[in-house]
Amino acid sequence: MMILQSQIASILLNGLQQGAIYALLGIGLTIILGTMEFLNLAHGALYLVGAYTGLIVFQETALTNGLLYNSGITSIGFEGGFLAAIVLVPIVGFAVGLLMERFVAEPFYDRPETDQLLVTFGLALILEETVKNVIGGNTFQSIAPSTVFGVNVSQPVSLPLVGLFPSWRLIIIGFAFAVIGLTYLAIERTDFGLVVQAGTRDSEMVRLLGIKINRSYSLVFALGAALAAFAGLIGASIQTVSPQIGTTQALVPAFLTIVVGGAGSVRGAIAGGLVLGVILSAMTQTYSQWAQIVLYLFVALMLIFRPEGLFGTAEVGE
Amino acid sequence: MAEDTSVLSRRDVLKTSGAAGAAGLAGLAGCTGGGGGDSEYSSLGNYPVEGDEVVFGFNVPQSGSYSQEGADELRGYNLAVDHLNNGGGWVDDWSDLSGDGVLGKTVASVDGDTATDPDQARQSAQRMINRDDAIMISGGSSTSVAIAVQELCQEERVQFQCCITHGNGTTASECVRYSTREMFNAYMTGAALAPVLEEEYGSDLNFYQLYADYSWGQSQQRSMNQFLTEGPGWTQVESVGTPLGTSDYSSYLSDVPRDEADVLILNHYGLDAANSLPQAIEAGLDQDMEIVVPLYNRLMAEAASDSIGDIFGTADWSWQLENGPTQTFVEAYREEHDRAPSYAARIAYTQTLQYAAAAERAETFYPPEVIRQLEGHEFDNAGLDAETMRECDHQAQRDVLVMRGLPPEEQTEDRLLEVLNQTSRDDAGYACDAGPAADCQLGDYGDE
Amino acid sequence: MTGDPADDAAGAVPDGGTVAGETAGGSGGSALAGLRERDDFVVIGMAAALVAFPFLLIDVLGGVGDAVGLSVGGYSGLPSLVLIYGIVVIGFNLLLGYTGLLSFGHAAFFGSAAYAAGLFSQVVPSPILMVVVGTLVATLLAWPIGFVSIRRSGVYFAVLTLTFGQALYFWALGPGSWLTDGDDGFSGIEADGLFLGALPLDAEPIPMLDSYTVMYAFTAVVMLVGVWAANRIVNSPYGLILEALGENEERVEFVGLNVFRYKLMAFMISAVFAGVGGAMFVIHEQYIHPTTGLYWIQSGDFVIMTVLGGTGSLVGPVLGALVFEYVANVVSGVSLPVVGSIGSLWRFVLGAVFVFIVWVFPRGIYGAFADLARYATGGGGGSGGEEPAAADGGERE
Repeated sequence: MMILQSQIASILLNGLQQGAIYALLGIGLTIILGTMEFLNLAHGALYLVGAYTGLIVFQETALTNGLLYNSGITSIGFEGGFLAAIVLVPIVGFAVGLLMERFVAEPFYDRPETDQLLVTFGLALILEETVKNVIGGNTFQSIAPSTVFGVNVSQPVSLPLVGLFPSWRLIIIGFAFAVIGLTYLAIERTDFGLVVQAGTRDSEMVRLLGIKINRSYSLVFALGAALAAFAGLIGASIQTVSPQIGTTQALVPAFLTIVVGGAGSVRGAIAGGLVLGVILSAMTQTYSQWAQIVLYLFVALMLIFRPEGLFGTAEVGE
Repeated sequence: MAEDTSVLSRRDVLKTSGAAGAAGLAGLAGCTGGGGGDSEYSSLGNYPVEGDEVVFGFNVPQSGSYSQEGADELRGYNLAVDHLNNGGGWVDDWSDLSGDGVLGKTVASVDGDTATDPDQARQSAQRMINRDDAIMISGGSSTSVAIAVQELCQEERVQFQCCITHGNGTTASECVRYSTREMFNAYMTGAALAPVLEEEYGSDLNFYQLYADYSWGQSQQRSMNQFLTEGPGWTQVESVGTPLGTSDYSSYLSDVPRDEADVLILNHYGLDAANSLPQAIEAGLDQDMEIVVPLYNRLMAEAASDSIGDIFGTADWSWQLENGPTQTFVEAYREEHDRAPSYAARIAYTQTLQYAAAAERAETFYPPEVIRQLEGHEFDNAGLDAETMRECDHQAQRDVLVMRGLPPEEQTEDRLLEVLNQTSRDDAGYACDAGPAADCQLGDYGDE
Repeated sequence: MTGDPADDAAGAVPDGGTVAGETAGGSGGSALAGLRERDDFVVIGMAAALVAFPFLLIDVLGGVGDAVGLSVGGYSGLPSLVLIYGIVVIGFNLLLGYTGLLSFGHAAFFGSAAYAAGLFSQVVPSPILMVVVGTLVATLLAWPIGFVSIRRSGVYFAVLTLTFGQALYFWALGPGSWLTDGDDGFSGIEADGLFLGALPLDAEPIPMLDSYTVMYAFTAVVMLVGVWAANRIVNSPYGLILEALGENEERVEFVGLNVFRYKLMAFMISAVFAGVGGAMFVIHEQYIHPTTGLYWIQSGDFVIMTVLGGTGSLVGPVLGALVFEYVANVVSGVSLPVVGSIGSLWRFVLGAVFVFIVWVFPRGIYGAFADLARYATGGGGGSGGEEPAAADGGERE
């Protein structure tokens, strides 16, 4: 019995940590898709931007190839530490989001979704390859700090039921949910949030009501980008960083998360992320070979039988 | 860059005449005859070599996760081509090589991107063979790529010189006549590592394994189980597969029984190990047990440099070895690139030279003759003391290096690991009817 | 950027066919006869392009490459590969370009056909039967997937199709590796020659021209049949309905047609094309790996080839396949004088091509050529340019 309980507790904790990343990615994607009906395949690239920005802010990293190295720069970054990264990464993500909205997304709002798809996929490729060719194709170490506010976080802590658990992972679960909570409040309780909410339900109506939706578009896009970048930072603190992570680790999970939650729904994205995280971790600890298969089939079943998503608020193309 | 793509080359005529059975055309071959004793064999694959250049194809990962490793392979290849044409490095010491090209022809090269994807690698190799008339292909950084490309090369009658491939399959059930492997394999890792682990950690221990769930990881964990059970008499608690593409191992690691297991073996390569090892240490498993990563490479050592202290593993070769060939190669490489080569660079370098030397010994590029020269070749000038390219399975019998990771404070840019032991090939090797070799059936030479 | 002679030729010929078709249609008596003749001209134009294609791609471009000192020529095997992907995206376009359904899971049909054909070849190594079996398996798989998927639209449809493809991919890589050989890839596939083995696939039957293999001829014939069939479909009343579905689904429903059935049919047809392509792929490559066969990136590549070539036309996507495969397999091996090897930059080039095309030529490469052709012929009397090949047939009826 004890074993079962501790197994379940460990599944939940691991699932929570994975789910937090999915949720961050999902919220960003869902508000962009919901408000602007813009299909952004470069969302994974924003995760990548976040991870590399985190890497650069967190510490000085030696380079061994790439354009910078070839032109004589042998290391990048400054010893800013993780707290500086937490502040700076979303800001950089926000700025990249603003630029992307202005120069790439905006000209495509009225174009077919396939065009949006192609241009953002092309952009994702360009971003990924730029990172690779400038900084080098190296795989960099994850960037977990050893202390936070003077407390040692490199050692595992003993938790009831779960047993030893990496303390750093507990902290990032905290960070992630703090950001998720703040975003949720911002969308539920502020005027800006009202526009986003209304926009995800009926963007045409919002425009008819005379709300300057273009500026809101920029802000929504930038907010989504900042969240994806923050997810990248969290990811970079537990896994290695390489130019491929955007495509291989972020893009597809982001889309799975939003359809499970219901496209356009922030609450749905949070719940969707957590549900997927827990399923993945449960399967991994039991029938790992089938983990991904079950994950995808779960999403398929959701889409077949409950296409409106977990919270049933989103509009669904029937 | 250096290939002969004229609309109609002699090879084309020969191939055409062969297919159409037009005897009249065949006479052309004699007329345009390419010198150097080449005309005594009929055309096969990309033989005979036209013009005054011979083309080697270097098929390395240039995009995707292993591009860093591919870049170092390419540095090794280019250095080899430079030395073959202009002298320098081992070319000056190998009696077979002249430093004036190969068989009187200048060596040219084409490169391609495998993207660590077997199909992409085959496409790229196909291009080198069909368009660029490459006589030899080398490269790759995974066993699935090596197996896919060497099979193609067997069909096309073009020599494949394996670069990085450590899975048993390459020289076991999937082995082919047109490919040779100098790198060691998972089986040899097990044989070399087990005695060292016994000496360091003792006998009668319990070990727990995680392995990457594809053929390399499976054969690696099998070998570890076999050699740790037979040798030091350890007991396997459990061996758990982690699916391909896993980057977060925390769920698997939280299942490791801390009170039961004395040693944790992470059968992960490169990027996978760069994630699983730090995550194991983050989970504090290093306090309760010893951790072993059977196969090191530079990519992994760099991407997990804070975590590799006192972790044992094996490596193909190290620039720190003190033998003459090693030092010659390291010096030549440093001159060009200002840092020490990884073992990927050495395999690339030596594989190119091995092929060239075999062609010189055969006095022709005719593939079956080159292969016969490679088979059974004994040498001690490739940085690993005495080696034999075995005839029965095309697996080199050679020493295996057991490495220990250095703690972060002792590391320098190039020196992340130290050589603990050079396990003799007599202890790491196996007979032609044993181990992986028992499953190997090489194909035909093509001139039977 | 990659607007090389081969593009020009392959693009211009079918286009010329269309133009010729119109004049022929004008002289013919009934509208039906005109349509018939125009149909034939698309196929004939395609046939002409197929005859010239390997020569242009390999010999002419190779000659150009030698002249300028860059290895930009194609290689034996590339023309077949382009056509194989061309077959897939012609079918894919029937779904995306005409019906407006964006699938991110067509790798499932491509890959399952490839594996089925590969497995079948171990028993009967006949290439034609391999195609039949592969296509059959893909079609059987497409029915249930289509049945549940097409009730959804937009991103839901895209993700739903993606989930099935991904589930299959992870199955082939893990639990299913007893059948698929997992990450080692399924190899040892050797198809016999055509006509009961009388004509080996790698033979080069035309003296002096070794760019023309039997495999290429086989692929070209299959391609022609595909173009012919697709052309028939889009020019039939049925094609009209598909197109109407893409424009306004509700209107079709109001007319009293069973939208679901038509969409399912379009989905199945596109899966048939993907299946034929997958089986042909395995005959051509003699090897298949889950990443190539089933991974979502492969599905994404189909989308990209289609959009790149131009969704508004029947054969446009084939141009997309050509550019895509050319960049991936030839440009990736080019060494430039100053920059050096492109190898590690080719994906960058590919991304730049996407962004450029979609920005400057929203109707894809084919659309760009069509515009160019119309411009060159001085407007074409208002009927020629608006929607090439496929659509104008439909509108005429």
